[in-house]
Amino acid sequence: MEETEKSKAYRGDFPVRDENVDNSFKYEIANQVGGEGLLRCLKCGACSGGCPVGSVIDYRPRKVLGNVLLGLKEEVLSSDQIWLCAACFTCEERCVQEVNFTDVVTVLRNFASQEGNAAPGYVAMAKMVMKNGRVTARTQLVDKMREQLGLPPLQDPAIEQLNHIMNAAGLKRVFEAQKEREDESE
Amino acid sequence: MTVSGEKTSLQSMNPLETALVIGGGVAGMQAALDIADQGYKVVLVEKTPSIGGVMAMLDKTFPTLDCSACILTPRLSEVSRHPNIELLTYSEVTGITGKAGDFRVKVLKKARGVLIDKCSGCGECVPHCPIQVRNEFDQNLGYRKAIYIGFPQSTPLVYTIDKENCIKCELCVKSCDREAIDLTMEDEMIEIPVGSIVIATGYELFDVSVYHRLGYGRFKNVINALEYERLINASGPTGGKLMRLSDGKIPRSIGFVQCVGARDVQKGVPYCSRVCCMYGIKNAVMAKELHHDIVKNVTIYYADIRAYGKGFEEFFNMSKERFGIKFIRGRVGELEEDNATKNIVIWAENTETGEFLKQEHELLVLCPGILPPKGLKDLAENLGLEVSIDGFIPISYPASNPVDTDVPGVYVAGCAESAKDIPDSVAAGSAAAMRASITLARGGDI
Repeated sequence: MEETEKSKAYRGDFPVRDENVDNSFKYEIANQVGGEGLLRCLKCGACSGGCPVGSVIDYRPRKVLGNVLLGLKEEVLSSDQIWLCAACFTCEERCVQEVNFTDVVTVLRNFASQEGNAAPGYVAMAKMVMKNGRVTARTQLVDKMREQLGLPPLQDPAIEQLNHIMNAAGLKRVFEAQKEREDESE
Repeated sequence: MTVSGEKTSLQSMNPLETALVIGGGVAGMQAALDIADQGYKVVLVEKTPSIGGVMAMLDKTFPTLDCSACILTPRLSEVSRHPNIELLTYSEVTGITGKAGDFRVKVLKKARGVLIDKCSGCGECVPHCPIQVRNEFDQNLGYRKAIYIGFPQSTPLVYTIDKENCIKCELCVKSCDREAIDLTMEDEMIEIPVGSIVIATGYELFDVSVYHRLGYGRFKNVINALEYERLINASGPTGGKLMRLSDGKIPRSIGFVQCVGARDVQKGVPYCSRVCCMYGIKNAVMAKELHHDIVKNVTIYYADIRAYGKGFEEFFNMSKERFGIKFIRGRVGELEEDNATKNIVIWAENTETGEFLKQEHELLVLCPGILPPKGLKDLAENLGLEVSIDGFIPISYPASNPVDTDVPGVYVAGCAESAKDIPDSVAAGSAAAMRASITLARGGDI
């Protein structure tokens, strides 16, 4: 008989204790728009098997879903796993249970942001939008290229209205939570 | 009771002494035999030129590894020789009217170009036929002539001319000493009165090319399980030699992918097909059994192993312990083909360890699920039945009436009702036969 596969300990494998489990967490997520499919997950691994991110680094969509279903709220929302999804939708195409992993992970990111766990890159990008009205700064090079291509010059964004909209959407709270979290760690 | 060989006119049968069985697979044959053994007449209608169904294509059966043909072929002869069974092969049911005890069934007898009474199945015509086409019975892996029998034990042993490919050169006509070939033969429509009906139309396999990522049709060394059955079958196109299609070599490592077109909500097949786990394991074992010196690595990629039947779990354990079959829990995410070697690299997650795998196999076998056959919906509509949401024939109540449809006098057996393995199909065939003969015995009253 051939040797069976040795199981290796992977990052993210840890003992699950009662005090870490929040039984209502999966329902919290499932009740959000986009999170409906979560409870249908069979953990068959079709998402991980086709994941282009997972093929190069230690990232398994199945594990994210599994941890949410287990109720490991703190672990899921504070980990960087939910920020690794490239939103290529391959898993959604593969999924046999119509779980819509990309939507679930968006809900999880929103939850994590509210608690000050947003990935620094995303926060920096949001700040850039608040400041410039764009995800990248307007440079002279861009203006010049537009001129050469015969495109109309860029309009100045209505920063005030934009800030108003983004704060109404709760972005202010995300920044505050982020700041609180940073202060705590210092 | 008529003596074997005596001519009976189908049109003048007594409906209260006759049952119709639609489909000549293992379930339909069992139903026909059980009704006929009670002294009633049976008309067995089969679409293809021979009875036997899918079981005739299989190499071995699970979990005992019995030879499929060894079990089936005596049955084939029994059906064809039974004095009470009228066999209508190469025929289709096109319309049904009436009610229990008095159905009128319209059957289209397709022109097979060969007179059943005269052909002895000697095969003298075959070498003379200039047309060679792929053999459907061998899953298009082997070849046959335009005048053909699908497999050596074809029952009735009568050749058939495939009208689509025949060029009417009449070389076969000249070669036939018994003057059995008639190329002018035309389709014939007959009406048969029957008292009760058993639907045993069987199933068809899920078309695995729907899963573009699994590469069926794109990569030569990705085949489906029924093609694999024909490859390992001694009467198959390779004479029982397991070889891969790109270069004819015996593969040293084989992968089996389970749940292709089963338990997949997105592809419209939410149900479990029941047999795939076991036939997958059986095929894996057969690879080791046939070429244990060459085949070193056999891996099954599964979602869940459902070994629910008698002896199944033991067989599953034996495949691991005695044959060293590897099992990896994880659906396959992606396939790649190596340009030079034509080997297949599969991507999957081993969900038991979280490990991401990229494994190379020389042959990959997809194990498709079971679908209701095309045309079942039309047949059901003819009977005044509605197919259920999964496309199979619904039964009135699974616990107390497992073979009764909603139409009195119409019963269902085998995979027409749901995915079933061979023992369950045979059991359902017997059950449906009993219910159908009760209808006859009571004169159509249920």
